[in-house]
Amino acid sequence: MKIIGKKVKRIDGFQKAEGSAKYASDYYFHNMLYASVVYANVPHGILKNIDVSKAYELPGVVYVATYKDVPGINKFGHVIKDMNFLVPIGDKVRFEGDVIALIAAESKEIAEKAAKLVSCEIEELPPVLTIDEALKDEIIVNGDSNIGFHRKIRKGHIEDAFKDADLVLEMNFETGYQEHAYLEPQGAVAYYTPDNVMEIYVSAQCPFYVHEDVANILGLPLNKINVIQTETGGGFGGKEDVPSYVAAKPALLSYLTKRPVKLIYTREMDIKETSKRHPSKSYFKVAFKKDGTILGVKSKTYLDMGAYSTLSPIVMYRTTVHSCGTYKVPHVFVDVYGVYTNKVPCGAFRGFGSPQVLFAIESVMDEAAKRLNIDPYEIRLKNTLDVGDETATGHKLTSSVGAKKTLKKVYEISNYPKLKDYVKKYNETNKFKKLGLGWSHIFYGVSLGSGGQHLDGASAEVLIQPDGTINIMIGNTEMGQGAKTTMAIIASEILGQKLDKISVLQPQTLVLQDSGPTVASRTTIFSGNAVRIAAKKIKENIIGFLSNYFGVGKNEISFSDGNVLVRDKIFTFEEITELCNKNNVKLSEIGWYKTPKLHFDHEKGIGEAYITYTFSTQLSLVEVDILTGKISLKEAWVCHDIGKVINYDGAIGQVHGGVVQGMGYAIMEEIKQDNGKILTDNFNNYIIPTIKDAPQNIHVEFVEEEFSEGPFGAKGLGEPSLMSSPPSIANAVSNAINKRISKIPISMEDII
Amino acid sequence: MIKNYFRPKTIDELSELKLKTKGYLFSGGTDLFVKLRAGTIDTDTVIDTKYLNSRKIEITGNKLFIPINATYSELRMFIKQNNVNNMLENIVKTIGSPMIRNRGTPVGNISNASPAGDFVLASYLFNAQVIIEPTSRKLPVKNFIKGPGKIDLRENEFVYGIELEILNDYKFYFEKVGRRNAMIISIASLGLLLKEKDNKIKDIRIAFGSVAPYILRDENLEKSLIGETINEELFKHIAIEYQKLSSPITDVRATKEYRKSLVHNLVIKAYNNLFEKVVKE
Ligand SMILES: Cc1cc2nc3c(=O)[nH]c(=O)nc-3n(C[C@H](O)[C@H](O)[C@H](O)COP(=O)(O)OP(=O)(O)OC[C@H]3O[C@@H](n4cnc5c(N)ncnc54)[C@H](O)[C@@H]3O)c2cc1C
Repeated sequence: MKIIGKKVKRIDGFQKAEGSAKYASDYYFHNMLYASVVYANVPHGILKNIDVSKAYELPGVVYVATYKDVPGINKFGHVIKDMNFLVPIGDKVRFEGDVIALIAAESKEIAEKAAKLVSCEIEELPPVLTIDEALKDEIIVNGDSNIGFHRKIRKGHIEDAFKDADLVLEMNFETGYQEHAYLEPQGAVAYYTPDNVMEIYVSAQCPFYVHEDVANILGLPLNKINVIQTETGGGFGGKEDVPSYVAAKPALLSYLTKRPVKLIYTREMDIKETSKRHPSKSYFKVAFKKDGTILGVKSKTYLDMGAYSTLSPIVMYRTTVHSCGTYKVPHVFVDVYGVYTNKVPCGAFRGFGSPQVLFAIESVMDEAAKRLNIDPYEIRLKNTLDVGDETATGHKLTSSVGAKKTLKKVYEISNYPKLKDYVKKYNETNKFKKLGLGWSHIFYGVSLGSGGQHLDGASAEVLIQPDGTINIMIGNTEMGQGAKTTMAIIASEILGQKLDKISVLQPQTLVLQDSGPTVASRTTIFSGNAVRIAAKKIKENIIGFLSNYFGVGKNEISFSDGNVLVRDKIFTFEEITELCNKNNVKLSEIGWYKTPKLHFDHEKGIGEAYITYTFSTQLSLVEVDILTGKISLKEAWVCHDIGKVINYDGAIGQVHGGVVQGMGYAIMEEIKQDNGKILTDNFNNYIIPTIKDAPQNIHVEFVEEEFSEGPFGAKGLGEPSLMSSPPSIANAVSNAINKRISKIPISMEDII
Repeated sequence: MIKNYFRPKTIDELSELKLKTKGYLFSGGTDLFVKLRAGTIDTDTVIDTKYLNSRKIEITGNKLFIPINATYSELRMFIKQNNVNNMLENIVKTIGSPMIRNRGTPVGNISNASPAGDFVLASYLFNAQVIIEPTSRKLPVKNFIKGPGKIDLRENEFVYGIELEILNDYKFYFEKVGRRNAMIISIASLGLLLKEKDNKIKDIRIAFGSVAPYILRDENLEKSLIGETINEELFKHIAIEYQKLSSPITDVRATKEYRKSLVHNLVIKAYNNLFEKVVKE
């Protein structure tokens, strides 16, 4: 490999560090208006009346839009359309962040002032605020029942497992919300141009969702809406479907006023209105043999969807598939329920419904190891998946299974036996500070899998300019994760052009075919393959031409390091592209990639759940202050099998970030509410980790069990990098205080 | 929205502007602008104090003088260079982040008068005197602060500086409990200064933050400890006494029960750190 897997400079790093990269709030247009949002601010009720007259009296207010102004379908919803865009009179308010009206004004200040002048009359209903209350189904939040969705796996005979078991563990778990806390809040600028094209500049993970949703809201054809993804300051799932709700607001106002309209969320609006990781409650009953072999898993997990289903049914698919962890389990009986409550709708978040159950099953594994007197490392090694094994959904794995290798690698780099010894001695001599070690071993189904295969295709356009510089546009998005650099590396590997001559553009929906969302750790495989295909086609065009032109064999032409070798003559890449251009060689191509069809029985939850899986192991060392309850992650050892590593520094960065964000989820981050109202609505009281909380050392290793379908053998890393962290840290805390932690985030008050 | 912005250069100018405009003083702005954004302060006038000709940070006799506008970063540099009240470093370094310490000021902290203010706690520990102009009033910080966000200041007055005692040969412990290690408002904090002689207490000062509507310091209790032998029993007694005196509330950061436990445990922790050495840092 010439450049794949090497350390390279991030291609969009300079502009971002320097501040010239343009994010949504950096867009300004002549004659632009500013939008504000009027929220319901009650958790449950019936909207009786809206009075906008006072707002109109304020000078500078141009438009106050309500449901009556929506020209298309006033509804959102990914699987079922159960959410109003703007609440109609007579309909229900289902959470505090439901939107009643939108304002367009000459300045932000006027817009915000006007929002306070809109009054609405809401007949309040008692709210449903917990999973337990929702399950009673006494007060219905949405639809016919608060249990909106159910998914399951039925494999083998679970009762047999319990009959044959030497140990049966029954445990309950709870997990809390997690806010994405992307650096850049949600925002969009919409401009309904004089030639009737709706241009939308939006911070988003999936411009195609915005495209479709805004078309529905406004009743416009798709070829009249151009959604342009701006530089995006983090997403973590929070900008998967949510930007539709965000962008539709200025889009409607621009449609109505024929002027550009800008809406940038404050952090408070963002936390109040937009999605989070689902809180969960689960119950696990797991059967083991004396030697630690798992015989069966029975589990029941409830996810708190909040007021609307949004992406929950798809999130639940992943919860279901990951409920048994990375292990061989012959008997499986898994139930996952999505439950409506009068709270903020939850949706996509790095890990997508899997961290909740991975925390549970990994806690169970540790508890079993303790009861059976087996080391937590050994019990995982014994049960983990290998080539030839079947996952809990009965997916037989035929290749690219590096699970065991990741376990062994972490054992080795952490010097585990010595480390265990050190911890033991430390704890014997320290009264008020205790150390703890915790393992986690997880897997992750890459891309959307059988739960969303209709979205699993991706497009890329590669264009070589006559001067040898290259533009790439992919249908997936850069949001800080480093996708642009990875795409440039792939193109560079194939075309031999230097990395600094390649730029990757922001996607536009009027240019590229729907490539699905940038989620599910799928971009390297999907867009990476699309770029690979397009670059290869161009390369063939060039080789075909050169072989004719110079009268050499095709195999006598090679590309590397900014040069093209034609038999024994070296040309610069620029010389060749100029020559090609003059001779009408096609230097632009589109690559399209889709995965082979997966077979899955959704009724039984059995089959090929995902195209491939990433396997990961983490060992964490924590220190717990017994007097204050403060937990510190001291050191972590992590190994991921992600197939071929393409962007080495990018991969290391993903793991560092994932470990720390997962740590936040496990020990710091807490959404506190009062009667359905979020109290922790900014970073003053919603506590995310700072650099001062990150451990000094996060040791990262990769196992490269190549995936034949992936570009150069790559799989995905974006989410597993987070997912290994919470269970590992929670297990380490349990180990330190010698008490099982069954709820995250672990609060300091739980410790003392 | 801010419509009027002033930059007085002299004490009289500043005083006059404050009286006339009822505007808010703006030093680092790290409290002021947070409140303006949140709408808890509503004004259209700010008076920037940073252009005032004032004294510098200095040592006068056995006092450390910290003037208006002196930032935490400047103070840190000064105490390091002059090797004075080094204990303050432990408190100051926990405040906000480097950016906040480059802007924020001790005078702003005591003027803001939050029971969670870390420099307010420091001022109590070092028996600070607050110097007020143009009236040249001088009063102890405990009298200056009258409650959460409430200070003894007339309409024409402003805080010109703070004077801290210079303390030598004290053992010192400070801990601020929060869920993370930077950018955190304390759930509870403890500062303890102790001078010993022959294993007995010669002088002791104990102050808690965020466990009462004000900084909790009880000078009578402190006096009663003078002459006592330093041992675990004594500190258990101190821990229990302060637990009784504390009156924490439940808020978005923590419950009052947890805060009560912390009052106790922080004293035990201070003892163990200062005398037992069983806790390795
Ligand atoms: C991100 C962040 C982190 C923070 N972390 C901490 C922390 O860890 N610990 C902590 O204690 N605080 C913290 N703070 C709060 C703040 O930084 C401190 O209180 C700081 O000391 C305030 O100083 P300032 O100069 O910025 O005050 P300003 O905001 O300028 O002023 C504060 C108040 O005092 C008034 N005022 C200013 N000067 C005078 C004067 N001379 N006389 C009378 N009134 C005056 C102002 O009108 C205002 O009401 C933090 C703030 C932020 C934004």
